[in-house]
Amino acid sequence: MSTQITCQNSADNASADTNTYRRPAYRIEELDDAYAVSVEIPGVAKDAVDISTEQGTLSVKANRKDLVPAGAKVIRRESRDYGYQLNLKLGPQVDAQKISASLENGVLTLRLEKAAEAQARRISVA
Amino acid sequence: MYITPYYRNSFSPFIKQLDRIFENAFEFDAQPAYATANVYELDDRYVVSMDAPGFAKDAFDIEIERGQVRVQAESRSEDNDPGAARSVSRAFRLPETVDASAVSAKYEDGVLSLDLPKQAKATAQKIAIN
Repeated sequence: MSTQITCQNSADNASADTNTYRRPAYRIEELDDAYAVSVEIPGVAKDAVDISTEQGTLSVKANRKDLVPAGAKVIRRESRDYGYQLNLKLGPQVDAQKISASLENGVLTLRLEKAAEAQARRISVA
Repeated sequence: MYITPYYRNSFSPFIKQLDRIFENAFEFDAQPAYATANVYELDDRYVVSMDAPGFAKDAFDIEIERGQVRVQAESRSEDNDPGAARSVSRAFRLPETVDASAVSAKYEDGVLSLDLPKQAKATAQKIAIN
């Protein structure tokens, strides 16, 4: 795995917000020209995801909608009304200006383009 | 009476004991990958929601047999990368009051929800005195 992207979440993963945020499961893959980061955020709708970059850190914050049906009695509750928060420190090989994201079936996929000078060059033999 | 949890793994006796403490009535089976689940009861039905991100809708296999509902999903990676292949499986024992023929499921934002209606006669009815 790439050391170009490292997790910067604080130890307890709790923020100052009243809601509790936890670090989601994630996976980083290195491609030829980019890094692909998949983040598991089940229960989060597209409009509840906030992605930002600041000072070389990529932050993903996502709020889970309340899934308790109105008037329901809770028999078992293994997931709480938490949100997800992931902070990734980006190395110089990542072009922070070129990040795209898509959300499908509870998995957020971020594509982080490599900086031009960091891309592997293929040189063909003439 | 609710829905009662059970396990097939080695922690079974311990967890069963825990479930008794919490008076949970759903039975749970968490192999091979543990999917976080919530169970709710409404007047006319039960709702089970299970976190299962990253699957295609048609990757789910949901079966009801002998009073038990089992949810399984498997995804294979296109490039045979073992790290990308995933599966979840979880089973719940249903109370007799559930109408097994009327169970429905939906998959949204990586969460699988089962809707388990109670049989009509199991629904509490208010009878007015004339």
